[in-house]
Amino acid sequence: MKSAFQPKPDVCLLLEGTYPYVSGGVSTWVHQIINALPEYQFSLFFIGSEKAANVKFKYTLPPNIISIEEIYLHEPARGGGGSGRAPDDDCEELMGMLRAFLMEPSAGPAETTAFLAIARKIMKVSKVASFDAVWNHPTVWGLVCDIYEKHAPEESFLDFFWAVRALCEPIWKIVSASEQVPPARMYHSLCTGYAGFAAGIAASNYESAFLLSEHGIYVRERVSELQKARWITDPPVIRPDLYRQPAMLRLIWIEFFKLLGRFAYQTANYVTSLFENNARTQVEFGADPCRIEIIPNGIHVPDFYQLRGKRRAARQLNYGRKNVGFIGRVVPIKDVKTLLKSARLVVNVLPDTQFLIAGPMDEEPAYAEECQTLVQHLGLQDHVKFLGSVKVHELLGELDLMLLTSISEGLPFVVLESYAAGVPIVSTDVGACRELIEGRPEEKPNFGPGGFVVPVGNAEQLADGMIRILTDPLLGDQMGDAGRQRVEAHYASQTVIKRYRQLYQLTPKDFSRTGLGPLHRVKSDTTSNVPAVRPTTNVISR
Amino acid sequence: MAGIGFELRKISRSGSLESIFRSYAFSGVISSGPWIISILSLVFLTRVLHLFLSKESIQLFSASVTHCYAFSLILVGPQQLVLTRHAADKFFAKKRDSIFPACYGALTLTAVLALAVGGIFFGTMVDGTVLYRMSAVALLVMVSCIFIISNYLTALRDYKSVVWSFFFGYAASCVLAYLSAKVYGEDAIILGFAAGHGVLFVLLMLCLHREFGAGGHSSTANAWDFLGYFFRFPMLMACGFFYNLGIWADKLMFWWFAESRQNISGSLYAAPIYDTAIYLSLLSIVPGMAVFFLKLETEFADRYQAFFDSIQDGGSLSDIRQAKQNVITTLRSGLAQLFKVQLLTTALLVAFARPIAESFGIGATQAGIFQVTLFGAFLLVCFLSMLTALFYFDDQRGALLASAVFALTNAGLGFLTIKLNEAWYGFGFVVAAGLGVMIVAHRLNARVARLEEMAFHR
Repeated sequence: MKSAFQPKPDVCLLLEGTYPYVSGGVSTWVHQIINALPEYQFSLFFIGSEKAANVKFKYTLPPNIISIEEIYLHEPARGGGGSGRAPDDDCEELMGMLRAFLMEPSAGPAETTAFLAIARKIMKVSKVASFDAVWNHPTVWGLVCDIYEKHAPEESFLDFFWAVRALCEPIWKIVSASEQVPPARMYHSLCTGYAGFAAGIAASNYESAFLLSEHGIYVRERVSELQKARWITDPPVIRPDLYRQPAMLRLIWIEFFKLLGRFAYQTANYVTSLFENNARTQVEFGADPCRIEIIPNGIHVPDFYQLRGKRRAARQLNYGRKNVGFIGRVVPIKDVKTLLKSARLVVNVLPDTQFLIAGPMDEEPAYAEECQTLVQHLGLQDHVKFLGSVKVHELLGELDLMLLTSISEGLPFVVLESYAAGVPIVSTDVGACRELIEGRPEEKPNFGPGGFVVPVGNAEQLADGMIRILTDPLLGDQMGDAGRQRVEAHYASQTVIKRYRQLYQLTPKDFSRTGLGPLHRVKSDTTSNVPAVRPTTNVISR
Repeated sequence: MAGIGFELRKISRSGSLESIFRSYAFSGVISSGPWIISILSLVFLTRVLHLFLSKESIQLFSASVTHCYAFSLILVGPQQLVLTRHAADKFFAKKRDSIFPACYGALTLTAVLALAVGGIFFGTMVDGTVLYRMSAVALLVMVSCIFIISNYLTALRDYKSVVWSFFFGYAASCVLAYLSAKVYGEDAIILGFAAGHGVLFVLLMLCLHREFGAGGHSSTANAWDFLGYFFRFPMLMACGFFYNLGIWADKLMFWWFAESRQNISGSLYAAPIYDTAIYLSLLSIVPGMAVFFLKLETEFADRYQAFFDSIQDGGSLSDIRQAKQNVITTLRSGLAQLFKVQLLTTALLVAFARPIAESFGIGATQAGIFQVTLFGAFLLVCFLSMLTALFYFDDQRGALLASAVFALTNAGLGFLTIKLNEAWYGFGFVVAAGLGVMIVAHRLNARVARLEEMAFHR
């Protein structure tokens, strides 16, 4: 299937504003997976907003990246299609398709088919004429006016017009650039949005497989961004029920990103998600539950082996004295204040407990100061220590228990790392925390709880969970051990890499034949064969 | 352009009949331009000079002046619209400082070009004394420079000074021409006339300097940056050229190819059978032009601005379309007024063509041609006004098409009618103007129908 002599890459990664120009969680993950799979050849298709001057790669590119293509969606058009007049009949046909698509929307696969047909038409027209030429065609004006009259007859037409143009131009650019996308066996997009759209088009052009992996949920992020966006002004109408009608522009942009999301989820042969809650959200935004697999992030577990011994020794030394850890920035989203309240409750019962708060204090200084004042008010000066930024390895060896009080999380690495060192967890029920602590339903046999999960913002229950673990060292050890087993089984980087190695081999037919379907089956396959070979890189992204 | 429109609006709002009449008069003076005044002063001068000069020297004088005006219009034509565009852009970009330097640049360029053309024509192709030749070249340069300046005049608020300058300048031209002819003999008429134009030039420069030069010259303003506009707007350049060529094409044909033409001196010709008729009928468009120009610069400009404001201020599509409807209504009523006024004027003139022709001392044949060209002038003023509206809507392609067709038809049919007989004289002009009207009306309709769409196109 794969040959070193073929110039064609095995996998083309579609990257929207991430690797290799921008560092961050997704970029680190991409860098590590490319390094860990040297047997595959990769191409990168980078989609950016505007090309900044003198940007440099943030990573040293591994040798198995054989090509990089870039397009910028908000650059003034340079080339990007033909230069001739817009052909009348093609424009009319295209607008007819768009009119039907927008005025009588269809759902499900029909929508995807219609959208693909439109993309094909754009591909044809863009060979002859530029975006501007087609955009200035009278049929476009007619359609824009009709949509406006139907959906937003009261809004500023100027804003509406430019919004619609701003929606259409990137789509045009991506479609007309789809010939720049190298023919690959598999298109792997790291989000929905523009990259997911480009991947769907490329996969359908070359009849290749399309794999969609999301760390966050792109659509959800765009929606919450747009709900807050200041550049759109809401109409100043206050209705009797005090409901403030959001500006139509907000809704249009939101619907647009939802549409791109549905398109990517529908055209993808397979979707991966970091944890169950995210997978559920993907289904909400249009993904097919039968084509989703949970592939979490992994850590390199052997790094933590020696910590276990160190921790045992440390606990013998300060016998009777308990250490509770918290690793994270001191910011509102981590809810440090609830942590402090629960600390007071724990100290009431176990006066020998110490809380070690490790994480930068300078991100929101006002909040950090409030937390320190709260420590004074609660009389916890002798029990709470703000350590600032500390290396995780140094702290983990000292702890009896790790605390996580966030009000929002993805798949927190701090839980994986605590587990790897055998430290039990008390956490709020956010992101992947419940499945990390209780195990996913498919985990057979279940390793047992790795700690306690409690509702967000509930100091009493947090304290309750901590007291139970701290007063019962045996329970704590049991839970730490369950966590360790869970991480080794499901969250080891080798497991993750092995799974992607398998997925990268599949053709669209493979995906539809095996269905690969129900997550648990796939899951148990991968967990049973943990390879003995140590992968070349550590697939931690932090 | 904002300035003059604003002032005219103030007058027409004050409401009394007399003030309305005055604003019509002013807009007539400014819109119909110096060339109409020059015809008037020429007619006046020739009648006065008749008293003591020979027929030949009067013919030489009037043919020289006519050629100077024709050449300078064709020479300045390609620059006019481009310069207007440049000034409007700078005005919009609030860089008033760079408007005046560009005027200097254009004047320099024009003076050099006029000197070259005049030097070649009057220096090598016309016989006469050195004094006469040099004065003729000087007149050509002066007239060209005055045309460049008048391009900027509509932007001035102090229109009264402008009108006075024109009045005083042409009066000086007549008086100086008369005096120099009396004192130094017939060769010096044109020197006096050119000197009068020099006075006019200086006066206009003073007017311009008072408003635009007030802030001093900023060092960043480049006198030559308008040259880039010739490459950016080649269609405007071509349009200005064809339009001015079109106005003169039939006369050039008669001068060069008619059998009835008179050789004045060297390559200098006149065609008295046609010339007087066409000049007189061109004078007839003043009322129509005045009416339309006033409407355009005041109410229409307001409504057009309101149309853009309704887009910029976040109006809904129906608001924008309402504003567009107002633009159309104003344009329509402006054109209707033009038709009414001009139709009345033309009808009266056609009816009294014979007595008028007699009073100017031209024969029955010319009176017939006069009636035909009067009708042509009626079409011409329609053409001109709609062409101006087309410039407002920035349809450069349409304007170019119309003016090119007008110029080529006027030349081609002018040549053809010469080869036929006197009964056909003037019909080439009528058909050319008619074709121009048809094209420009068609483009205007198409443009207006898509007005709001065009506003959104880049």
